[in-house]
Amino acid sequence: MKRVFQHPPAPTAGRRYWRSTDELADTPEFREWLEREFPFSAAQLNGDEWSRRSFLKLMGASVALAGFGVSSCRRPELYLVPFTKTVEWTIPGKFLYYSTAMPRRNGAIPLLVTTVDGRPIKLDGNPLHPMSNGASDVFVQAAINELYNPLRAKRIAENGQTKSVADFEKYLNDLRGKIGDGGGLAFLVEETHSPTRERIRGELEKMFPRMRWCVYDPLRSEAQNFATQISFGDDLRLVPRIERADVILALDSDFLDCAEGDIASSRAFTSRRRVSAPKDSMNRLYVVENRYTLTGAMADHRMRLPASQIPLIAHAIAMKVATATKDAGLGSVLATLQVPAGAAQFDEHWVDEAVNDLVSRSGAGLVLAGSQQPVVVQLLVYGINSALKNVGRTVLLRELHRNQNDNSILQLAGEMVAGRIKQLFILGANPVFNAPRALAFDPSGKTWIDWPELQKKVPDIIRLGYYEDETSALSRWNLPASHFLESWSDALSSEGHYLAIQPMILPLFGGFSELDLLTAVMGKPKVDGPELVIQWQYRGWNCAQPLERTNPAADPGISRDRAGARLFDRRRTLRKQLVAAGNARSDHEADLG
Amino acid sequence: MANFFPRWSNWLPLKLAICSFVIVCGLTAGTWYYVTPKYTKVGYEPIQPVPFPHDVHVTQLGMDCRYCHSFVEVGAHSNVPNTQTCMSCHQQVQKDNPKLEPVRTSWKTGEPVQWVWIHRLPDYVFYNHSAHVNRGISCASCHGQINHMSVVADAKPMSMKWCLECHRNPENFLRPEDQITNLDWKPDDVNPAEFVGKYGKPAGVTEDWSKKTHLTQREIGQTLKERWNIQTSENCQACHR
Repeated sequence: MKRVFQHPPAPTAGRRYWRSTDELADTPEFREWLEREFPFSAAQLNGDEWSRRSFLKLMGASVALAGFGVSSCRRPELYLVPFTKTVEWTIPGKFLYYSTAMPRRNGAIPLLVTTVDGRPIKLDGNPLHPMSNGASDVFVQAAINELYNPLRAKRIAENGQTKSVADFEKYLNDLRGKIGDGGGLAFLVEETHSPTRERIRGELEKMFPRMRWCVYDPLRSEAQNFATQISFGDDLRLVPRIERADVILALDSDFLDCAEGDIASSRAFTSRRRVSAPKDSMNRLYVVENRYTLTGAMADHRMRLPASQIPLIAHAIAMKVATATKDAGLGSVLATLQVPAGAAQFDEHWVDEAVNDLVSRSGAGLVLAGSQQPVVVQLLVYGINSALKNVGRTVLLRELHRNQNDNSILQLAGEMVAGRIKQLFILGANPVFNAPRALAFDPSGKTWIDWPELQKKVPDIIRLGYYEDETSALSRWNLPASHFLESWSDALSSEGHYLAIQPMILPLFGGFSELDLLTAVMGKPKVDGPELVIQWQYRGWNCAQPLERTNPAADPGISRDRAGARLFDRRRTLRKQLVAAGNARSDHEADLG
Repeated sequence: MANFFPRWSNWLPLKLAICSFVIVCGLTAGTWYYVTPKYTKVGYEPIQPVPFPHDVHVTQLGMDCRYCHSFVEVGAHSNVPNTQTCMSCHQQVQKDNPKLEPVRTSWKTGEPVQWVWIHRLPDYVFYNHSAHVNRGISCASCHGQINHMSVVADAKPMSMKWCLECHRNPENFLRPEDQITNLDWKPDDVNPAEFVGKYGKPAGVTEDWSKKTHLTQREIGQTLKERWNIQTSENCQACHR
């Protein structure tokens, strides 16, 4: 029996809920679509000539004819289409592999790209490079889909209207006249660790001496950078050597997850979990965290603790380590901190055991703090590592060129509120979507205002974006950005190895790279080849020797790292002043300081 | 009681049986003959955009197959030459020949020449050219005497049965590795003394083959099969993978 389906009647009482976004929007098109009995093309068969009956008759006849006739039995003719000109290295049906690198916030990842007929189809870690050893992560695997994503920005647009490259060049030439000495010029860039971009930025600063350069990443840890700077020095960064650690304590540090850590960390960690000979030992992992993470899942001893308690547990651990080691550096940090009685609520026994383990493996332990932890936790963790003589053994100091002229988005917001920014170049970032709220205080309206409001105060915003997104909507110009598989560039790995980024394919939608746009701002012609990147190499970058040698005693890098422990002590006075100035300086204050 | 069935109906069952037998046999035989690759594929000779005469290039001018099909020894796929390969000669030779117009147009515009695909295997069959030509299977074994064709036609059925003929008895088709692209090679061309000196003899053969006046294909194939340790697979997933 045929069942007639009756739509449930709309409820007369109570709240009506919408069942699709179209229903919520309730556009005339949707109404029309809803009230029609058949989809739009079927409804057009109602006329006399094209009734559904005659349509079916005709279709039936043609299908029958196609079956009886021989034409449908013939094999379809297919073609062999070779290249017109020989493409070097290409063998039809064989893969071609190139090495390149993927720029990332934490440092670039060396890659091996599989290409077919000039199209990249698969990304893997470079098995010959120590930073990857063939490993990759979810972001690397997803990057190939990002390249072919049909939703990419494909056009040059001014206020939403499609424009040509010539229009943009003309605009840029006019703008260059307006920039003058760069008093109103600002760049908002993402962290890519590209030495060539830094060099071009230097040239830009010569041309526009008063310009601002702001590095912004929603996940960038200012606290960690600040703590490293005041603890060890300006041009240094800490690199944990997890494979050397027998005992690891992670304070809200999800170092095994690719978002915060990197593949090198995961490999280093798992290398000590693989026991293949009787002499092999395993590491032990203590994790204190307030949520479930990959690192927590790998922990031997996991303590769940509210986020508010993590500074307290860091303090408690530091106290116990200081008592056990009588370390003056750590003592000086602790002397400036006061913890209210009864605030700590965690298992003391767990902490005792973890500290005993760390102290007994002095020099082979490692304490890590999550990048989102405040400066005071970072300082305590550095102090603990220093007291346990881990610095130089499981935590190495590596050179990192930090440009002293780097600004943060907060400083930029302050300038924008004051109306001092006239030309803003946003390279890649999407601050309208992900910048923190209440970035700047507007003295005229006596309110805190958000980034979108700020962006409306700048007349000339040029956005280089991979998608036409929220930030493009509030920018004057939007340029399509090229993918890292489409452009020449370079980057440093998280340990400071220099990695060249070479294109695998010409820009699919005529995109610009960051380097293209920066050279265009200077009025220089576009460089298609690797010249910009090669130029960098000839200039001779004073690169740290990142690759470790087999004999640690002969390695100047190691001896410099050992000196790092002394450095932490030497900076005691400075640190004391800074810490005394405010026990837990917030990230924002650290920026503005 | 009257007869319900007329007299002629006595023979009806037999007639029906004979008729259906003939029809079924005829259909089977017809399908067997006409709907197999041996009938449907062999002789397929489409019109190419350029009537490239293999006989002129290979037999008269002595060009090797690998001059144009350059990656047959390294890739699974044997490439057809790109326009640049054609133009490297035809910029000087026959440069005004109207038959070469598509090639010259392609060179000017950059649009590739679309050659009609003749030796096409189904998508569910994997075939690796390099694995075969590096192990004693000549071009002629599958493509026939292309060196004498002025227009290329499909010479072999390339059905599964045909593939298995060789995979079951490769010794019937193997030849010395320097004769792969010599499509006119015959077993009689082999000098037995030289051949045995170079490749030896299969195990268990007591007769001295180097003294023979000529070697048969089977003898040559057996020697090479043992020498190169050729183990052809009859497993389904050797080709259907």
